[in-house]
Amino acid sequence: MGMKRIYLNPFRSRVRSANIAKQRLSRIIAHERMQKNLPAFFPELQRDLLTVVSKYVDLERNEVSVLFANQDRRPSIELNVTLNETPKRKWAFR
Amino acid sequence: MAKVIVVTSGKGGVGKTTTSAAFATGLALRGRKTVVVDFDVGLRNLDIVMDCERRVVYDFINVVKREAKLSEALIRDKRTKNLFILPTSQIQDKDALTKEGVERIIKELRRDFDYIVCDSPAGIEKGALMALYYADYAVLVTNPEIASVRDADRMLGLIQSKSRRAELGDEPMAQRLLITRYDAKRASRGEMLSVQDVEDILAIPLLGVIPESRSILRASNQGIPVILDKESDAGQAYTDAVARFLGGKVEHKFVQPSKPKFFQKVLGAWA
Ligand SMILES: Nc1ncnc2c1ncn2[C@@H]1O[C@H](COP(=O)(O)OP(=O)(O)OP(=O)(O)O)[C@@H](O)[C@H]1O
Ligand SMILES: [Mg+2]
Repeated sequence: MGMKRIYLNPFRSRVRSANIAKQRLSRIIAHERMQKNLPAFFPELQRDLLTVVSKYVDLERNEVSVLFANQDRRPSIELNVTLNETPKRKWAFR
Repeated sequence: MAKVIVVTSGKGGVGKTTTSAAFATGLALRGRKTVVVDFDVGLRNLDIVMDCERRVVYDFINVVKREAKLSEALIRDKRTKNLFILPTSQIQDKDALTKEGVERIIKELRRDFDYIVCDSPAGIEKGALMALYYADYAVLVTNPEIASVRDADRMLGLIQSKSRRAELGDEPMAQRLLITRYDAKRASRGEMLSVQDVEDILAIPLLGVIPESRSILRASNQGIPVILDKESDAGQAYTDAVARFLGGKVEHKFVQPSKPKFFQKVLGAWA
C-alpha cells in the first residue's frame, strides 16, 4: 500500500523526501568514488559488452548500462539491461 | 525547425539547472520531442535533478571526442515521453568541449528533436559561451538580487556579441527573462527587488516568475523535475512559463503576495 502511494504521487507521499535524498546520495557517492579506481581495461570491456548486448537489444529504445560498482564492499561490474520493448529476436524459453 | 534554447545567468546557483529540467520536461509534456543537454562540464548536476545518474554510460564529452555515438549517450527519460537527457562528464578538462564538437552534436540533435535545452554553467567563461553560442533563444535566469541582475546584464551583452547569430549578423537571439526564487511578500514590503524593478533594468520581455518554494527541494531530493508536481506553486509557474514560450497568453501568477484566505472570503462575501 505504502509503495503504491509513493508511486501515485511522490510529492504528497508520507515518506520524507530527505530520506530518499540520502539513499540516492549514498549510492551516487559510492559509485563516484569507485570511478577513481577504474581498472584500465574497463572502457574496452564496456565497449565490448555494449556491442554484444546491441546484437540482441536496441540500445536506443532500452536502458543498458555497464557500471563499475561496489557489491558488499568488493569491486564489481554491473551490467543492467531494462527492456522497454520486446527483443529483436524472440528469447528461446526452455 | 528545431530550436536551441540556452538557460543561462552569469551568476551561479540562481536556478538554471532546476529551470532546464522543468522547462525541458514541460516542453515534452506538451508533445515536443525535447533533449536537455548538460553543459556544466566537471560538475554534472542535471543527471541528479533528473534522477538518471545511474544510467550514464557515455556522455556529451565522449561524443565530442568520438568515443561514443550520440545515440549511445542519450538517455531516455523514464517518466516523461518525448524527453531525453544528454549528461556531461565529471572530468575537469576545461578544453574538453570544442566548438567543432559541439557544433556537430547540435547539428545532429537538430535533426531529431524539436527543442534542445542547454543547461549553462555559471560564469562568463568558455563553458557558458559554448552553451549560448548555437542558441536561438535565451532564457535568462535571475534572482531579484543586485549581483544576480548585474551578472544577467553582462550575459545579455555576451549574447549580443559572442553568439553565433551575432557573429554571422543573423537575426538576433530571442531573449526572455525568468525571475526565480521570488518572494512577492518581501518585494511588496520593499525588502527585495520587485519584478517591475528587474524588468525595468534588464528591459527584456518577461517569460515567468517562479516563486521561492519549498517544493523545489522536495523535488530535487527525489530527482523529479518540479514541473511534475502539479499542485505546487513553482510547478505551476514553470507550466505557465512553458505555455507562454509556446505562444500562449497566461497571466503572471505569484507576482503579488497571495492574500490571506480569510480576507479573500470576506471580500468574496461582499462582492
Ligand atoms: N524557486 C526556487 N525556490 C527555492 N529554491 C530554489 C528555487 N530555484 C532553485 N532553488 C535552489 O537553489 C539552488 C541552486 O539551484 P540550481 O542548481 O538550479 O542553480 P544553478 O543556476 O543551476 O546553479 P549553478 O550555477 O551552480 O549551475 C538549489 O539548491 C535549488 O534547489
Ligand atoms: Mg546548474
